[in-house]
Amino acid sequence: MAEKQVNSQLEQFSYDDGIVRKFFFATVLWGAVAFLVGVIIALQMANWKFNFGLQWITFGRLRPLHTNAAIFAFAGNAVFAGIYYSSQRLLKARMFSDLLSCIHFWGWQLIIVSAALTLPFGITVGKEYAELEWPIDIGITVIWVVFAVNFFGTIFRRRERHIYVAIWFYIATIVTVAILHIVNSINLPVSIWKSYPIYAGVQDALVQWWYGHNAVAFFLTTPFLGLMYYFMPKAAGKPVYSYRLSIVHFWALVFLYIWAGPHHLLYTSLPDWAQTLGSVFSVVLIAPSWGGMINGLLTLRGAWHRVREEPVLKFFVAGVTFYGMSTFEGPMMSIKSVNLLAHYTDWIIAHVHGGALGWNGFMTFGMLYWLVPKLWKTKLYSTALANAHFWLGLFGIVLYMLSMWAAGITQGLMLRGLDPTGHLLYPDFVETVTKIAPLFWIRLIGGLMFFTGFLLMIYNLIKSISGAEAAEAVVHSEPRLSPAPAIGVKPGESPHRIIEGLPAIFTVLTVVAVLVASAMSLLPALLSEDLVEANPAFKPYSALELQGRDLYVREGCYLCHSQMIRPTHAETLRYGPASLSQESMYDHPFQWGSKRTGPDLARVGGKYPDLWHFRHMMDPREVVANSIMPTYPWLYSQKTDFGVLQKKLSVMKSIGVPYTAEEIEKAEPNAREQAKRIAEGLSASGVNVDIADKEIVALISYLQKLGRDYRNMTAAPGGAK
Amino acid sequence: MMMREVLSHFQLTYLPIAGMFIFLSLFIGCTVWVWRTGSSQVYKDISELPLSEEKTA
Repeated sequence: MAEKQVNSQLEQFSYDDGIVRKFFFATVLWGAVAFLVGVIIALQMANWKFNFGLQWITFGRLRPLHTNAAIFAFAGNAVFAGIYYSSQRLLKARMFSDLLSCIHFWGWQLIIVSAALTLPFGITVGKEYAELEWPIDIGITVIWVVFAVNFFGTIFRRRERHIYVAIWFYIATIVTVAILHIVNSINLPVSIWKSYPIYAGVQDALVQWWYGHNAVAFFLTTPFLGLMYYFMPKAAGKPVYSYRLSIVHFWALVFLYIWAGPHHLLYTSLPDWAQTLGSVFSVVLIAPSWGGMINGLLTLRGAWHRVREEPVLKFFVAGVTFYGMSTFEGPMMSIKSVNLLAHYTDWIIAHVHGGALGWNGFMTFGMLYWLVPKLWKTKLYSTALANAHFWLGLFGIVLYMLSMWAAGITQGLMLRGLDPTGHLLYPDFVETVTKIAPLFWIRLIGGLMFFTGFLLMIYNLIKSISGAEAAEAVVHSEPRLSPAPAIGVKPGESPHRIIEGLPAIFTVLTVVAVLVASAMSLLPALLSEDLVEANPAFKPYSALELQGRDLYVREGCYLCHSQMIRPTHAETLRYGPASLSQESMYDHPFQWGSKRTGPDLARVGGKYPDLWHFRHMMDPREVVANSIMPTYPWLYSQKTDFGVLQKKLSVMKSIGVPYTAEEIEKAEPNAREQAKRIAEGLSASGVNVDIADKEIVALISYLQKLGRDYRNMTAAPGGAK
Repeated sequence: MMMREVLSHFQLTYLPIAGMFIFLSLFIGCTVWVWRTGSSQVYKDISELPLSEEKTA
């Protein structure tokens, strides 16, 4: 039964739990994929040989698959399961449209499958957590709109006047993710599977980390807080500790989160005011975050003894505690002096996994253990197995985080270490990697423990479900909601209560909070012409270099190498003077990176001869003993696509790169000529194969371009400005 | 173009200060409001919502 009018006062209806069950299965399936791929890439980090020399499973291609699967497939499906279950009950209404629910489910799975099929083939935009190419981006937008229509339609058809705080968090999620995704995904297509972002360099970096940070905020935090405010009271059998605190928590979080994105770009060539803005708001974020954590934990007041016996509560308590830890650690890492040590190291990896595995993972597991018996009217097969899952998962995360903290701090300190004469203590970057390599094995063990626990959960839940039938829909009777009250204070009703009763106004206020913060932190940088001072010394990439750059993006090099020299003594000693914003002004997308498993490459051009790069990509250990970088043999057999270059330059010109008409017209012959010169140079160095048309040559041309214009500028009469 | 010119000459360091001012005003206003006297019962009732669904079956 969907909806039926019994009499003028009462309506009968039932909830659509079929869609919740579908999202439950998807959560489990994609969770297994995400964690398995995570274990594989952890193994590849511990020993490069596990890349097997196969391009489709090499680290740079699997890592985006891992992050996308964990965020959008595992956490995404879990969020949808929780939202569909809790929203119907909190609003006392069946979902607006079963058809839209169905389109949402299958559409989202299609998006995930598309991601899983494209990323291993190197089809990527090259921006972290926003790697998917434009056709998939459009698909995400369409499906998100379907979800939004279905969700808001349910709100408008609700039978409960008050919109409970969990729904507020869902509203904030839906509207903000839409804004973030659309603004960050404005790309200009070259072909069906290739596009360039319209933003470049510092502007692209700012937009990307406005998106990246707030994807964490509004995809991995606000919806899970909504789930926390619904499922923790349900599991504890007690109302939330302080509803008042939840109101302050919501508005403070929604307003503050958006501002904090630039903390990902400290000590870069982003303007200092933007960095300060990000730092300040990140530190302030502790207040609402901890308000939420305390509210969640204190919901268990008087029920703490049950945590000992009930796995669901164990997972929720640990999950909320991890939320508290992550939201303390994050702001601390946003303090510039701490960030200087932590950024580009495995400390960030520890931080991210504390949030993803501890907060998102454990909250999801707690929710699933609670939901399955309800959805199938059965009992959990084994509490002992669930407890084993909890302890395996918990110790797995602890092992993971401890090893990555140790690795990050060790490498960070080694990279900045100076001897008494002021020279670098560890001038060879690889020394800092070999030092922490054993910790990669410990990380792998931690990840394996977490994954094993997850497999136990799958077994436990399947055993619980097997033999049980899906619970029959319960018929509910509720009075139809009377028309919404007019705006204004009525006796006994607070203004906030009335706003809560008017979802459109509430949504608009949420959007305003998000847009005001976004506008103030983004627009000046996007519109100000002074942000990047044009300098004729810095020239666009040649056609071949651009093709090489696309290969660099395809192989995910930015996941291990940065292109941003920070203005510190140790970095300028190691890499040269700090990066200028002009150096990346034609970079669509920017490639500043966020992690240095290998050294920074901003000025690698000219540092080594072409032959060094040729040998390095074939086997990094030929030129860097103990390197953990994988091999890239396919670059030596696959041919460069020269035919697409004219189109690529043309698209680049339309987004602001000053190519001349002649450069565009002669893109292909110019690229072939440059490739021929490089191949001849390599031949003279003893390379006995004809490789002018192979991808490795294009990649070498790009690597040799990095920093070349800066070097030429400083070498020219008058020197650097 | 006019917007660009204005923003090009805008003192950007004011933004963090303006942002903090807006946030603090919102935060203090929100906090004072939700802890106003006489609102306890309202919030108590609302917080029971997740627990009330079983009663409707």
